[in-house]
Amino acid sequence: MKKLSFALALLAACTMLAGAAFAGKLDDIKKNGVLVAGVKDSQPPFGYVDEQSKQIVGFEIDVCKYLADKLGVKLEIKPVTSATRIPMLTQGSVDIVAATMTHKIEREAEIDFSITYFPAEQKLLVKKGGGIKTVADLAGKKVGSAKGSTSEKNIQAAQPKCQVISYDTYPMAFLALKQGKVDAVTTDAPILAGLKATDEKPEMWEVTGDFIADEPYGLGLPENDSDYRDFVNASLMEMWRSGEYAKIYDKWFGPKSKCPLELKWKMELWP
Amino acid sequence: MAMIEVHKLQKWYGDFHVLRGITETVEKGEVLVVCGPSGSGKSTFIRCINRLEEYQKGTILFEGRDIHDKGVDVNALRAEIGIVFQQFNLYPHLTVLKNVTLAPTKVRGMGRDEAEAVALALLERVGIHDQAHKYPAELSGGQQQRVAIARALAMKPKVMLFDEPTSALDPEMINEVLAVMKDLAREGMTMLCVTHEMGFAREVADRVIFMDGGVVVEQAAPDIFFSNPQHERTKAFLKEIL
Amino acid sequence: MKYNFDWSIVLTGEYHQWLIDGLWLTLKISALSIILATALGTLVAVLRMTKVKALEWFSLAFTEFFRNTPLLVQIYFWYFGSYVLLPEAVNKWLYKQDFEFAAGVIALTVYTAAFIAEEIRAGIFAIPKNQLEASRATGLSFLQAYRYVILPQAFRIIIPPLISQFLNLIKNSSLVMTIGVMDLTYMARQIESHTFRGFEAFTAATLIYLVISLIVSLSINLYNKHFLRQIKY
Repeated sequence: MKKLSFALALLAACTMLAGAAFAGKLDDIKKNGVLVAGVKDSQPPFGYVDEQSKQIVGFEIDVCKYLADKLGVKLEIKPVTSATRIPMLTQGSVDIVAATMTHKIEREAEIDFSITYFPAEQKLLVKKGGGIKTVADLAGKKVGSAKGSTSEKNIQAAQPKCQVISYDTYPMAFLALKQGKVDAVTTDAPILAGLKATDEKPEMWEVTGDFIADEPYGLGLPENDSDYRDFVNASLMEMWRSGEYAKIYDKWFGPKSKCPLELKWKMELWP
Repeated sequence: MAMIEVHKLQKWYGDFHVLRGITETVEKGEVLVVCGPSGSGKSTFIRCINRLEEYQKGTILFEGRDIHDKGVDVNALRAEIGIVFQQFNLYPHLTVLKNVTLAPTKVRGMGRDEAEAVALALLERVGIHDQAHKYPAELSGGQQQRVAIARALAMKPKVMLFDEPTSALDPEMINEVLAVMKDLAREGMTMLCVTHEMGFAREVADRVIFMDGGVVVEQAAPDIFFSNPQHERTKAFLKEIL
Repeated sequence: MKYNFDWSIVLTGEYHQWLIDGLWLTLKISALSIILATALGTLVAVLRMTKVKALEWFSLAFTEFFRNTPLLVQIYFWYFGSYVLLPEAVNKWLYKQDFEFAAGVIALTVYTAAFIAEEIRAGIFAIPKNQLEASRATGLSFLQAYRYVILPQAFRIIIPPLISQFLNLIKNSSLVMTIGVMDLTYMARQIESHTFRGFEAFTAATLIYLVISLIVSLSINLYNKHFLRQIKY
């Protein structure tokens, strides 16, 4: 594991050194006829493996599919984790990252972001009636999160007295919550709603908590490729204007979906 | 009561019938020499007495008690019966002194100081007390075998078994080991010695038994045994080794 | 575009402290697991020699099972499986403790013990049979004979393979970060995700692992050379 990460870091460094002379990503994608998207594979409803079809599906996959269709290329999906998504993008093994990634200024040092395509807010997932309602209740408790995510930093800042345990994935963190190993899982509300929906008895759990942090999701794009970025931003806005966004949103977060979440937000639209 | 009574002892190694019914009694203080050609079962016989070898038929009584009685603790039995092997078998990672004190401290629960005092006295008796802090590999074969004798004696055994104690030694070292054994015999130790050292047998044995093919062919006091053997096989054997 | 190394982040300040904390945890979990794995491995190896069928089977099953399943799976098993296996009250108490650390120690111990048991068994086989016979003949029990005569000799023989098992354990300890134990690798990864300075963080971690391994290897070899007598038969 250590060696792998080291090799990845080394590779990333090499790509950066050699990256000076690279052509526009947009041309590459069109030439190859494939848009390679890095997505989550265990994060319902954003990206997860569908039980019936055994394919990775989800909200973010549909967004990427829309972009691929706009480009007239095929969509290829590569699973990433919170820890691998940025290195995989910088070394070029994926063209775009749609993996519940918060647009953070410090991440701008490595990659670029599209405009926000999903407005998330960090919350807590707890056992219903377990006595935890707010961040203040977490003093002296164990809180589960996933490595490489912003949630672990935010929760530690909001409640310095809690112990954060970072797992490899959110489902692992949720399993730890179910087994009583942690008292809450914290991350973005829609992810928590998705986790909750995977349980046999979703009514046992609730998403709660006061304000911890805003988590606007942006698509991760290679650094300094403005043609590509412009195309992605324009496509997202067109998706909103045409009503396609609402359709996709309704499919995954609408009242009839497994994890209903009201759309109270409007995408930033450039005139 | 005899020290050891062996009754109709039989043992097989798979199909090979190595002991074919041995009956023998050893009195307290008696020195018995067991001889015979290789493969005659003589080593196997004495190794049955401290249960290093299991047997299938017959009984062995030690101080009147069957050594396979349910209540017999095999470790306690072995603590009473010392054995010296052909290959010395000292513990190479321990000093001479530690070789001798190990069993008394661990089995008899003797304190370290007492055990060392006993050990040094024994090493003096076998003539190597000045080597007490050396390791076995630094000693000659004869010296190692004398340490092995001291190791066995440290348990204050009631009987000593010797399994060809001089066969692996260079000729010039045989006598130093035999001298120790003779001293022991004169001090009244009960001894069963598998050996071809007929000079030793003549000098200190009370009885000599000759084994061949898993049975005792002949036995007698040493002067009679050597001067007037009865069986042809005994005669042939003696002719060969004398 | 050139990568600008900034070694100061791993040499000073908060992230430096993270690495130190991670190093300390790696040392703790490795040392504890090495001690326990050696003890357990020895026990399992000796059980195999007892000539008691049930114990021999247990020992064989133990080694084969834990040697031939991935460590990562075993870590998950001990961490998440206890929930199913143990009574709720026990679990409640356990989870109040540092259960992540404990599960990590158990997984590393059991996994490595299976390998160590095989090394020790090979070492025991290399000891002449008459050593056991000679020690049993003086009245030592089976366990005493192993404790004082057989194992001290076997350990001298197997020191080199044993060192490599210890080094494996130290390296394998990085897997416990998957259950949230904040070891050196975990910390390196945290620094990477906070600063995107993965190259510096992982280089520092790699060097630290290298130094630990070299120190362990050298010190055991020196001990072997200068304090343990080489045995001759």
